[in-house]
Amino acid sequence: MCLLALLREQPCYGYEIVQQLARYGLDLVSEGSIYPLLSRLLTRGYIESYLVSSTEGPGRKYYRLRPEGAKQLEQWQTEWDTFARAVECLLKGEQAHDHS
Amino acid sequence: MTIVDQEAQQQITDLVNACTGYWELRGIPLQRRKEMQLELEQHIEQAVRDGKSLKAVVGPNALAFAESWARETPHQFPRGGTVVLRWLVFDWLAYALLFLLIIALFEHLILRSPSFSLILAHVVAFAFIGVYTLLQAWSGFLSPRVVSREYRLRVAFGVYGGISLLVIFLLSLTHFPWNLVLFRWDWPVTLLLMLGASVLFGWKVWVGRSSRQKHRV
Repeated sequence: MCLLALLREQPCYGYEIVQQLARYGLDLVSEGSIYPLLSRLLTRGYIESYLVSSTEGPGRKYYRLRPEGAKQLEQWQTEWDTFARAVECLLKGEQAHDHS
Repeated sequence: MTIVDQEAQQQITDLVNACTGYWELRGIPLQRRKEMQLELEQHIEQAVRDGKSLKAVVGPNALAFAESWARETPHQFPRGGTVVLRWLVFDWLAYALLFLLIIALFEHLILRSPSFSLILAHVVAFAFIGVYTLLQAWSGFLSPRVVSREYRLRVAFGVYGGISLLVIFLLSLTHFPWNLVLFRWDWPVTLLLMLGASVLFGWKVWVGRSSRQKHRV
């Protein structure tokens, strides 16, 4: 979800994503673990990659969000909001809402 | 930001090569593999320039990292066959043949024996050569833990020595027939083997050179 949220802002390459996440305090156990995740998102069609050529050497692979990814992000965000609200209530000792 | 020194560059190259070899074995298509290789190389180089370690990028277990990436990447099954075959021909067979030639020539020239006997001990030695070439190829996975290439190869050799001694010890316990003769041949066959070995090594060198040139392009 965090990856999709980052890519919604702007296309990034792997190292850039890691740096952005670290800026939000989301340090990864190992930086490389971003790649299996990106690969999974690519396979599911949530993001796409493209090569940006460089004059100094080989091109760099960038990732950007696809419409399917944006839709998925919205859904995950709703789920996350519900979950976060529930946890917050629990921690504050508030009464659980009666859904019946 | 610091400049990547030669030792660090060697560390990166060994690690990236080990990962690429592993992905090839896992059946990841060439184009995708090249992209992964480039992405990993660029990431590690930038991380090292920013003062980070290889461990910070791939974690303490580089093989687990390579596997986790491979698992999330579309791959073909079964596809490791060609890789194994190439390893068998270019690495194992080439060195096994060289070993065979050295001992055959030793028997013919030094011991003045008109024929050479291939015994079971030689076959065990071939298996050991295979284990060593594999360990050497995979020593790149030690890069995050062992900085110097020399030490990485020493560790690989140490593991190899340990495995070899253990296998020899276990075989000795079973009264293994080390001297059992499997084949026997005369001079002309040894000459043919010499010819075969030189063709194979020539081919190996040529393929290695052309792939390095392609990599540069």
